[in-house]
Amino acid sequence: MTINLSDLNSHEQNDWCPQCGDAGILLAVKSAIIQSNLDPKKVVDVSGIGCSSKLPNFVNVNGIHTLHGRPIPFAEGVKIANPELTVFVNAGDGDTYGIGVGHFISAGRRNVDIKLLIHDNGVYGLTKGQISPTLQENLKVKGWPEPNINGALDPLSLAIIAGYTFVARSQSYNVKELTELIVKAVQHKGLALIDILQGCPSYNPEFTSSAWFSAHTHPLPDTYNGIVSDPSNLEEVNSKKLQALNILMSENIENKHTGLFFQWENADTFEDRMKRSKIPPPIDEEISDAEGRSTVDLSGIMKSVST
Amino acid sequence: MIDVSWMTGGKQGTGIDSAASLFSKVLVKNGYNVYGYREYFSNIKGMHSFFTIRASDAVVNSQSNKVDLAVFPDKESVFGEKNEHGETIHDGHIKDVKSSGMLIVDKSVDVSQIKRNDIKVVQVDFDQIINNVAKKMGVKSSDVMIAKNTSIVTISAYLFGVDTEILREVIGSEFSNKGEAVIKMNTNTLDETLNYLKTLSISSLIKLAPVKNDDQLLLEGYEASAIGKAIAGCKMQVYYPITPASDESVFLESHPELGIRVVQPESELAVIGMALGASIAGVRASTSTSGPGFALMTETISYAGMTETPIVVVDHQRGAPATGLPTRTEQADLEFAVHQGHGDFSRIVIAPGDIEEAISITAEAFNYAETFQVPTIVLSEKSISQIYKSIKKSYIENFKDSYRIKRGKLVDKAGYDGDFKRFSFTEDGVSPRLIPGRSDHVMWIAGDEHDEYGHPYEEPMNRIKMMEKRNKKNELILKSIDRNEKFNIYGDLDKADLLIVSWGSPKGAILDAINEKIAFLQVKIIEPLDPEIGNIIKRAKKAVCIEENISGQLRQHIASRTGVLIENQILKYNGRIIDKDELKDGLDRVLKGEKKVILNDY
Repeated sequence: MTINLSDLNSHEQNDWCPQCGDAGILLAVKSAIIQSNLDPKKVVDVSGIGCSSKLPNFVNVNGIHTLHGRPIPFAEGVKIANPELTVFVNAGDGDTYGIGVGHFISAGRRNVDIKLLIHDNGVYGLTKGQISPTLQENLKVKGWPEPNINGALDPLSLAIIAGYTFVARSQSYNVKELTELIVKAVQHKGLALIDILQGCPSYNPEFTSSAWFSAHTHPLPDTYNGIVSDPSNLEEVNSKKLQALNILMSENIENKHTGLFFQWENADTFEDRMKRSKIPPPIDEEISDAEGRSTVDLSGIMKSVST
Repeated sequence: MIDVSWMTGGKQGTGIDSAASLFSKVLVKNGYNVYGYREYFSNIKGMHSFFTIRASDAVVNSQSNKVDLAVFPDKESVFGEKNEHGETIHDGHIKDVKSSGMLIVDKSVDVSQIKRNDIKVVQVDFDQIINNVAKKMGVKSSDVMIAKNTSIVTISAYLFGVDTEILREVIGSEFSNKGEAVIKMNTNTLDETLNYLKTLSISSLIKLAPVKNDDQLLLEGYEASAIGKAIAGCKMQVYYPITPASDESVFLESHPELGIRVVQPESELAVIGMALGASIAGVRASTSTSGPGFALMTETISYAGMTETPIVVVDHQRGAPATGLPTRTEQADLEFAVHQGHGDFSRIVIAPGDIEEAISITAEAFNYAETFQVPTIVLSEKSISQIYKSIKKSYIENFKDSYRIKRGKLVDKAGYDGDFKRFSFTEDGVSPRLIPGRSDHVMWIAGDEHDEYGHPYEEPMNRIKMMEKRNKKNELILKSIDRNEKFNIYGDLDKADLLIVSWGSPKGAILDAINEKIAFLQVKIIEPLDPEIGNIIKRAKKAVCIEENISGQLRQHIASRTGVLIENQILKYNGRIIDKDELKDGLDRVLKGEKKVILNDY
């Protein structure tokens, strides 16, 4: 079955601002689904709240538009229930690194095979431009009257420390690079983060314009290789993590890299760990016979509660 | 009829629970019905906890306020304790022994301080028994100290006239996975204790002759709600540790043969999100929590209402507000459960009144959730989920055979051209639902107001229709569910001088306290509330609402839904369970004209 981009359009028209970076992300998501040969019916795109999170409505795949900050647990729930689904999270930096940061960090402990595509524009767009957790201290953006007095967190370093097994950065106006990274994330077995520097022309034109990104972001050097070659070699894993942290710490707002910072293939995923418990994926378990009678085996319980 | 009560107590972490559990099993194996309850502090080691067991050859549903026999290995259980400020932590259990009952204390206790001439006090040298066992086994006394509990149970069985060979059998099965040495230590303790008792020349208080009753098993309440979930085909349980709810999840996890994935994420916010994700993916999913955790789930419960996603949450209520009394009981989450979440949406709130109903109602909750596509809250309580009760083995088997899994409008195909309408307008307000990845369509879901496809849509006419679709489910629920699932009536409404209205765990004490002049209406489905309940109350000569909370939440809820305000109240809010004796006294006071009776004994 071959599908093309137009097959992936839902009947909804997007209502993003002109030049919004989300349009580029939307195109990259659809392109990556095609390039990865995914069956749209087996794709679930989970989103939070905000401009970013409208995205699933514009794609002809299953879409779950959840609550502010909560798309990660919803996505984990979907994937644990039915591991054959490809599960994306499209959410904002406020969603993921602000109100939902506990879920973002904790996801690293589980390594559930979901793909986070985080729209990172430094502001809360839909509520008209308040500062987000990734806006650097002292920056003044259009939507906010004063310079930022909060420090910024670096989602990539945090993800590496937290246990993410695929950590990348791209930007919304480089659809080609972003598409390639999403395809790699889909191929990757395990939890993936792509932090997408996203243009917000309405509230953060200063630091997220296409021109700004062209001037201040550049691909990781050719000599940089973030992929762990021997997944069982924990020394190599740690040295690749340190390599990524080193380059991330060398960055500033005027000098950021894009590309794949770290990848540890075949790390133990949550699905692997669950398989070892011998319990089948929840969706594959028959719960009743043709008449609706429960088919659960209570013999073990009856034995344990009998005197 | 034989009806005896027993108590033990001691420092937490010394195995008082295992004494009570062993003795319960001995009594059940001897053919008796038991009801056991534990009172303990939110503490791991050192604080006082105590356990009561009531046993009878008839069915028992609650505890008595006094016991026939109390056995305590420590002084604090006898005399009580004060904290460093001189405030009473608890005042001991001398008062809890029935007149003509027996109190067994350690040799170190100064019995002259007990000051009760109407009971028999016997001193036992527990240390001597333990030392003898240790000597016999060639180990240190400290290694045998844990077997003091077996000594307590031996004394108790002996004084209740139970064949102590039953205890030997129970020790064998109870400690079978702990190895021969542990079994040996406990059977040696049994023998040493019997030898010791011979030197005391005391005779048994009562003779609990064996009763033929093979169809009995001993269940703890949290096991009941877990069994209900298993029968219902729940395949994913997500939880965050909280007293007194975690036991249910741990029990499910310890039975992998049930095929239930138990996941413990980082917070209750994650718990309810994960459970809803699994439910959207087509799996029967659930969580168990208590008040504080349930409160954290609030926004997502509202989302479940908006997106018509089935979900079952069991709230094992405890003393509130805030962290409240983590290990004590209260029925104070009713109004919260009924109103939880911003905005208007239909939901079901349902409360079991005993262990059997904790099985059946928890299982039915899954059918309700999927049939009506609403969040379904099961309000349990510490005094249901942490009681021990003997129930008929056949009850579980019969319930499992009669239960049918009803998944509602779960479809493979839309049956029309174009995109799937997850929120299609239908006559009854419930729309077909599909399993993503297992059908011919994709679907969208949104917590924003949405059109039939599930895309955000703010147009006013659509808003009106969607609001009405979600909120008219209350009528559908009331119309579709049988009367006997909504409430129970005990006794004869027309002949009764008094109608008791209650919900949840007070059911046990009520059933044990009422007579032919008192009828009892047990509300099970609290929301939506059947208007018939208002009519029944109006017809009663006199009505009283019994609840374990300070504000009379069921009474207020019935008034708000039916306009009928129950005139009289019996309330208890000290975190302790209502017992049948204090309830009888409370009912007498109401019959004599008291309008509001507060039972704060314990």
